[in-house]
Amino acid sequence: MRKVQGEPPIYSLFQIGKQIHSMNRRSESQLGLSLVQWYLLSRLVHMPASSPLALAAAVNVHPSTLTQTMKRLEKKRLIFVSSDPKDSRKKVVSITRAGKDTLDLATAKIDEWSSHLSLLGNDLERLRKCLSAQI
Amino acid sequence: MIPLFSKESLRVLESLSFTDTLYAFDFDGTLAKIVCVPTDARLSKVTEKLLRQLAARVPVAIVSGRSIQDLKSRMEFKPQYLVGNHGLEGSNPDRDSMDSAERTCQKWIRALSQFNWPSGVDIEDKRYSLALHYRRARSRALARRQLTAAIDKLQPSPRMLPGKLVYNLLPIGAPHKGAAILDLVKKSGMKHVLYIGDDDTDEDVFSLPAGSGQIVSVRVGKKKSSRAAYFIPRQAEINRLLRYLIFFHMSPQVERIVGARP
Repeated sequence: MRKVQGEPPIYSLFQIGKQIHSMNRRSESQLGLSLVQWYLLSRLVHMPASSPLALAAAVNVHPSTLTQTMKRLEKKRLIFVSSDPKDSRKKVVSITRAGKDTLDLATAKIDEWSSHLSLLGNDLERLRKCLSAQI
Repeated sequence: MIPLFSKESLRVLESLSFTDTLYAFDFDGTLAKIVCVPTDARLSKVTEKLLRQLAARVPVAIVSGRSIQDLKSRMEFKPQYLVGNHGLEGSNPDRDSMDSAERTCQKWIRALSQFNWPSGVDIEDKRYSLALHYRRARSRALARRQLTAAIDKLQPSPRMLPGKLVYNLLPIGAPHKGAAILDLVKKSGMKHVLYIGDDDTDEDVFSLPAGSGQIVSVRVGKKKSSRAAYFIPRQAEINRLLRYLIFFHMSPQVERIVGARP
């Protein structure tokens, strides 16, 4: 990321936003998976048969925000929704074999793309804290 | 409670293989079929072979009401984790509570030996717990009545877990299978557990709340009042379940070559 002396911090934030957007586009075109979808799959793989509520809490989003992403992943057959065997009024969500294979491929690629992000280390953490304090 | 061998349930089972899962089994009525004389129970050669194959890929635990010594004598296969006496042995043994359990069981044995039992009632001393079997009793109803009357008089009062034609007596406050499973999760570093059991003693596991990790519970035989999530119809289906688990843990390359599911 370019950093010009005296630039307001919001410029840096804008640059980060642009890069995330471009990474997301690349991810969608090359892997068929947006970054949000990849993130959801990477959490879900360790939460088999989870309630959508628990999954939403794990990815730190509102359950209603999750619904659309889940629908898209289900359409791609990367996840599946089934009835909770202990309470038929509830649903549980799990990853499919195709979802796991896609996740493995995507994770390798995304790791490659984001390898330079580790250089930012503490800066990213500070930015995250700063944004959560603002929002 | 829904069937495990349905398309949807098997996909849930498969999803467990993508993460860190401990596979835990009860022994009698689950891995080994129930026999008339409890001392005759053994793992079949096929089940033992399949368990070995599974244990080569993932951590496997056997959690039983039998003592660990007794369990070891019934199979050549040695799982990574062996828990006996309904959780009192092998999970997180606290010497004091085990000694106290042993003393309590000795008291109960002395008290029970004063009764005149009908033939076919067998009192099994498992050192830290007792099992009062009445499978071979001519009149099971009579044996049941006499056993429950005798159990009511025991001091200190035991925790009674009815099983299949058996009453299990455990000291109150002793760890149960549910506590043993939670302990195994911690010990093994796994995040999830698939637990398969057949008895009322397994309800302590089936009713564990979903905490940070998921416990997927399977009962051998359908029972409406059980807290288990899934069921397999009978003990004879355990090998089919083991084959599925092994299949799910095969590398994708092998899967493509092998092709069809079990």
